[in-house]
Amino acid sequence: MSKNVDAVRAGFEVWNKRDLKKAASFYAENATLVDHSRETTYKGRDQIIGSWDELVKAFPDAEATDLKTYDAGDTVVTTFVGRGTNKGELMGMAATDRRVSTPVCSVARFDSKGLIAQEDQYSDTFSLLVQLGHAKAPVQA
Amino acid sequence: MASKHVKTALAVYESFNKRDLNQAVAHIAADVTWIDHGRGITSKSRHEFKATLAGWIEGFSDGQGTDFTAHDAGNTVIVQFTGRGTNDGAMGPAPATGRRASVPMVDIVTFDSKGKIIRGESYFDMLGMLVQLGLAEAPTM
Repeated sequence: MSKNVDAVRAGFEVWNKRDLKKAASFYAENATLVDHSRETTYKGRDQIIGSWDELVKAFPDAEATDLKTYDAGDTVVTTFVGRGTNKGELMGMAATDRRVSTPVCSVARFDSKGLIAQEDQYSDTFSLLVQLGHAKAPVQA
Repeated sequence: MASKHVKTALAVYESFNKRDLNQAVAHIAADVTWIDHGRGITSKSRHEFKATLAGWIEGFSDGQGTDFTAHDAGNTVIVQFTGRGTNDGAMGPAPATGRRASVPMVDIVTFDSKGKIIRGESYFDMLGMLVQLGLAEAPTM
C-alpha cells in the first residue's frame, strides 16, 4: 500500500473516532474540499472541520464503513458507505431519528508534501432524503 | 501517457457521445455488474448496461459526457466528468421538462484479466439533477 493510501485510511480511522482535528491534519492548510452533492466548496482546514462538525451534529454516530481505496499515484480514490442515525437538524430539517446509509466516492489529490490538496466528494442527497422520510420514493431515472 | 485501460475507459464515453452504443459496450464484459448509485439501479449484464445508456439518451437526446479526468489505478480506472444535456424525453415516470442539467459524476471502472470492463460504479447527486430540472426543491443549507 502506498503512503498516500495509508494516509487516507488513517484519516478515515481517526474521523470515525471523532478526532476531527487529527483527521484534518492529513489535509494541506489551504486544502479544498468540494462536496458535489451540496454544491459547496470548503477552503482550508477550519472550513473542512466545520463541515464535519455540521455532519456530526446531524449524525452523532456517523461513521465511514466498507472502505475501498484505489491507488492512482498522486490521487487516491476511496469508496465507502456513510452510516449514521439522524439525531440533529440536517439542512434545515428536523431530526428524524432514522438510520441512513449512503454510498460515497472521494477523489483525493495529494501535494508533494504528502498532504491532501484537493478532495472531490460525490454522493446522492436524494436517496438520503428518502431514507429520512423527507422525500418520496425516488424517481427512477 | 494514458494506459491501455484509461484509453479503453475513455473510449466508452467517446462512443456514447457519438451515439454509437454498440461500440460503447464493445469492451464491456458480457457479465458486467454496473451499480449506478445515483439512479439506484444495478446492471448485471452488457445488455442491461447498454439499456441504461439508452435510457440516458431517451431522457437527454443531446446528453454528453464532458470535462474528463481519468485516474489510472492499475486494474481500475476512475473517471471524473460532467454529464450535460437537455431533458427532452421522459426519464422513467418523470416527464420531459425541456430544462438543461449539468451534473458532476465519477465512475469507478474495473477491468478483468482480458481487458474487459467487469465492474462499474457511478456516483452522482440525483437531487442536484432533479432540482435543475424543476422536479424537486433544494433543501435549505
